[in-house]
Amino acid sequence: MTAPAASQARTSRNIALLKPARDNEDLVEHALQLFDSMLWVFRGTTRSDWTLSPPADADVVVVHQAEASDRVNALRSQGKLIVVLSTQRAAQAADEHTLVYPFPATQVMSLLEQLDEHLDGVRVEKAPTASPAAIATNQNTWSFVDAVRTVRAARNPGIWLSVEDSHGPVLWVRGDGARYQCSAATQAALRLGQLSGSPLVMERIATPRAGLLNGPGDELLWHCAYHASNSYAPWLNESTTYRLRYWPDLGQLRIGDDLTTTSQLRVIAALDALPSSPRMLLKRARVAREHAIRTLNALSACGFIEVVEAAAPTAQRTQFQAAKPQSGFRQLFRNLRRHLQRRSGR
Amino acid sequence: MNAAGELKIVFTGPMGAGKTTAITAISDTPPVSTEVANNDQQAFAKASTTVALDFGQLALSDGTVVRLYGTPGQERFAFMWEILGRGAMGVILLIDANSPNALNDLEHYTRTFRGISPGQPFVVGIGRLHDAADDALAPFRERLATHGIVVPIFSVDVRKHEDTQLLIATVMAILEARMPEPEHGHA
Ligand SMILES: Nc1nc2c(ncn2[C@@H]2O[C@H](COP(=O)(O)OP(=O)(O)OP(=O)(O)O)[C@@H](O)[C@H]2O)c(=O)[nH]1
Ligand SMILES: [Mg+2]
Repeated sequence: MTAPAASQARTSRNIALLKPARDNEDLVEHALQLFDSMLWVFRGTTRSDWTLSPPADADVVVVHQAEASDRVNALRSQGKLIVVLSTQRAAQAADEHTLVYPFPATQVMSLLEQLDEHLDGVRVEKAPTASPAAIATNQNTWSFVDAVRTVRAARNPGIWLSVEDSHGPVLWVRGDGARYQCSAATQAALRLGQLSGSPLVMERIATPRAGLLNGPGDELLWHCAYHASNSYAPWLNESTTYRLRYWPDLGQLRIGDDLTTTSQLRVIAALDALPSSPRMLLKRARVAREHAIRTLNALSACGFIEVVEAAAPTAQRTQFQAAKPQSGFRQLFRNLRRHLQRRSGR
Repeated sequence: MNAAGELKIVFTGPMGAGKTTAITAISDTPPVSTEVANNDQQAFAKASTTVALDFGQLALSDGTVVRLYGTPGQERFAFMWEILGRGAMGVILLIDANSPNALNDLEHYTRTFRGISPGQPFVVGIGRLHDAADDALAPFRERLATHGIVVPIFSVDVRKHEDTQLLIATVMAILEARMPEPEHGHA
């Protein structure tokens, strides 16, 4: 018999998310939620366990940058570490304890580890508070997408999470977000954006049920992000230039509706031809605004596009000689699409 | 036949990748193929293979005809790639993921066609992928990324009309995206 390992007793840390006194923009709410879901997903993967608590009991307090300075100073003087969330896109992180929204999960994880080390020096023993059993993920349309993105960033293939609506579990996500499982009916609903009208909650479980469809994580994230909203995802900026990193596998992701597929192809091909801001892309891609926005949301959620840091990109069009149809290419393509669609209906 | 002056889409890829199958799935008329007994069972164990080329077509309502060509799969016909590819609206490369040479085939064909005509729409369809892998297409994407090449790579089963249609629709979308100015009217 070996002696009980001291390392098995995990340290418990308390962390508080301080809502701004004045109700600010949606983005603040969203930033806090994002931090909250990341905390939850990281459980078991960080050195210590992080538990939500009221500010009075917290080791670390997360505040918005607009928080009144006397309140923040009061917390500091009680020996609490402060993390600042900034929602100003252009903001430079003032120090390593500032997170500029949309902060990546990896940054939050390394910040937590850093705070943890810091607290080791100043630690006072505390009774652990009850941890929240689960996170509700539909406070807004993006929170489920954010939760899945966070799961992917946490890269923990050893665990599974179940996603439940008010009737029980509907789908299961592996802890690295690279696989998901669900019934055929749920998958059909996912593809059509009809996953659930009721709150979705994620919970850690042992293993999914047997006999389910097993799909790649991109599929889950793509459809959730595509259907989340007909306006831009909170992390997308209309005037920032994005470029296509690689093409999504439309062989797998297309939903079999020609209009949607054609629109998605046009948006992706337009970005591939020339890095663009969403605003420019809406003009170039020749698809309905809503289709363009949804496709961009899905592309960005899955990491298929990235911000171009450098100055204005130059045209990348390379000329080649193709035979020219008499009535022009656009007319040819209209006819060709109609022709193929008719025949697929056979 | 003025191969460079006609409207055409070219299917290419190694033996057994599915070129004849794809053209059969989509052509208005059964494709004219020149199948012969395969005497190169070493390269690919199948009963017949296409020599010369496959030929199908799409006859549109306004009388326009789009021709579909499949390049012969045997390497000794590689000289025909350039002739067939020249002037095509796009080239569709089919790869059998089960083949031990799949990644090398992908690289070889892609670099050859990109070398002949860099601006030509080029779309890759990967058949017979095992879905159980986390990101089954990643090795294919990464192989081309090492050469700085980003092209559409889709998992397909070209025996299905919709999958072959997707490949052709992608060629059209790429051409459209490159057109400088909108013509009169809209889509
Ligand atoms: N499962 C699966 N089978 C396929 C697919 N595409 C083709 N096949 C099968 O693979 C075999 C070979 O296909 P072909 O269309 O003759 O291949 P090819 O590229 O024309 O070959 P060559 O003419 O010899 O160069 C046929 O039995 C097809 O049914 C696919 O996407 N998935
Ligand atoms: Mg053939």
